[in-house]
Amino acid sequence: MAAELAIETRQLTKYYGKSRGVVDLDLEVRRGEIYGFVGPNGAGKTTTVRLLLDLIRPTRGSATVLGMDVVGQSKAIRARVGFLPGELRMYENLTGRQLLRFFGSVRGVTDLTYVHELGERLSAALDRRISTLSRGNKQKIGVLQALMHRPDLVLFDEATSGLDPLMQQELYGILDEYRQQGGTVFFSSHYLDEVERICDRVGVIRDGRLILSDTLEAIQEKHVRRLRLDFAEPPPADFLSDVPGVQKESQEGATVVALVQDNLAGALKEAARYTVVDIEYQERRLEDIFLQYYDMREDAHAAESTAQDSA
Amino acid sequence: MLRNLLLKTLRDQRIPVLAYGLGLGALALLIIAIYPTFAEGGAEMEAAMENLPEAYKAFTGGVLSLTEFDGYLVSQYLIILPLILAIFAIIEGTGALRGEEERGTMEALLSLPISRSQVVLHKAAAALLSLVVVLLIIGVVLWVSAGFVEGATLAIDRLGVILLNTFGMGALFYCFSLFLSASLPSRRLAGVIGAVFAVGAYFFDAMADIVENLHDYRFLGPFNYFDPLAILKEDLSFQDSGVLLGASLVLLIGAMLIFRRRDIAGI
Repeated sequence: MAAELAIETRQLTKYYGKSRGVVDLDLEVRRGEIYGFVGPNGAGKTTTVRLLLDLIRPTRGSATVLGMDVVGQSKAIRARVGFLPGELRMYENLTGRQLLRFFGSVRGVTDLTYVHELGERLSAALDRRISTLSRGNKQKIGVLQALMHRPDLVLFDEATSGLDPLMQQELYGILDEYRQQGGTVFFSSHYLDEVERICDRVGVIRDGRLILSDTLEAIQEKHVRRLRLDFAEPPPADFLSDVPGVQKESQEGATVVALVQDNLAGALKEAARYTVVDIEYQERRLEDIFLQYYDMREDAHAAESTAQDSA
Repeated sequence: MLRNLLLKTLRDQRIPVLAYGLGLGALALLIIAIYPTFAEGGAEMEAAMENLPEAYKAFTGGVLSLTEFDGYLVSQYLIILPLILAIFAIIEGTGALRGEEERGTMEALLSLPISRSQVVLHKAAAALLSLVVVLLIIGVVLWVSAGFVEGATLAIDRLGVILLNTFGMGALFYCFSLFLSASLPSRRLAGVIGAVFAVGAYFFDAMADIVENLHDYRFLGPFNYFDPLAILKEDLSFQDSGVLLGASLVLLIGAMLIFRRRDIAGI
């Protein structure tokens, strides 16, 4: 199993003094997948990426990338990994082409044909000094340096911020091709739409802890969706009360909103006993699931705190 | 020029190196050109120097005579050369590690397959090579210009040892700054401490010359190992330069060990 994993962390923990970075992180990213790593700002996404690159050292726990230990074999790891943060700071006195030549030399890349092809696709300004480029254009140079050596794994940390929508689409296409060629992408983001758009599996991090990790489909299956039913006449007060996996959320006049876990057929069968005027079934969007999950955890956390206070 | 970090760092330093080399070379030329004026001052100037306070003499390299070329060159130029080079050394030393982290470029650099030790070594090698280039420019200007001025005799072997001794001082200030850059949380703090160390070391050595209680501790200061007047007048010795370069090596290894173990600051 380990050989199939591009990233594996075991109880990976990082504290900055007393401040929490990540806590007991058990992460598994398989080779050849695009793994979305989502969470709000400060949740621990960047700390995780920096630990994987050995820019910072774990307080405890361990991590391997491509089967190699992140602390003991970091140089060998970095030879096979590409990295792009949200705002890559590069040598501003160089042009994009000079920077790529320098990075290519350190990486042992002598043929820059591939990187020039990517540059054309992204319309990157390679002959201007980096100091004169906009954030989006700098980010394009960042994409090129991350992919120039055809790495086995790329770590993208909020990497699409700064790119305009057209360039984002182009980048998604490049990442899709890269995945089809066997590459692995660790895609940290708080833009849930793009995670939903390109990722195979998703991990959710909150307060430094991984609270969920699964395929998008499985996550969507596990979570409730709202069903809105408009009737010709208001249904009885106990409508849907006997249908397992379905919970009535509200009823206003002839309109009923229900939360459906996994029994849409049961809910529709019950509704069909009355005259249905309109039906609206909520799309399972990652954003809703994410917010729902966070709300649930907030509630649980609050309940836990209250219980502790009472005790 | 962008094949590796050493060459890239040399490229980044080319303008300050040229500015320092040509600026200090021009200053050397000027000082040698006006030497005949001092030489002709003769007895009156010697007498005036006798009356100068001991502290002043200590701060100008313990020179007894400005009419002799050796004393003139030391007191007017060579004694302050390490302090001027210290500015370059401190800027480059503190900028090498903490400066790159504060600019955010260290993160990109260390995402490449290059070890932290290599980063320290490449940057140190580039800065020390830059120092060599600056000193070579100064050396050529001193030697060539001295040949055109009457009474200004400068043996090339003694000039070489003085430049090596000066290089030792520059290397020490650079490696000390690099050590601070690896150890301290901000470049500004490292720069302030580096500057206080350089100026403080100069004053400490001068004070140790005239304050009896400090005599026994003079060996602790780097300027104790910088004596261009002795090299010009006495036997050639590499011992002082060896001490300075040895201390620089210890500081370089210390910087490398600390930088290898600590977290890289994010932005």
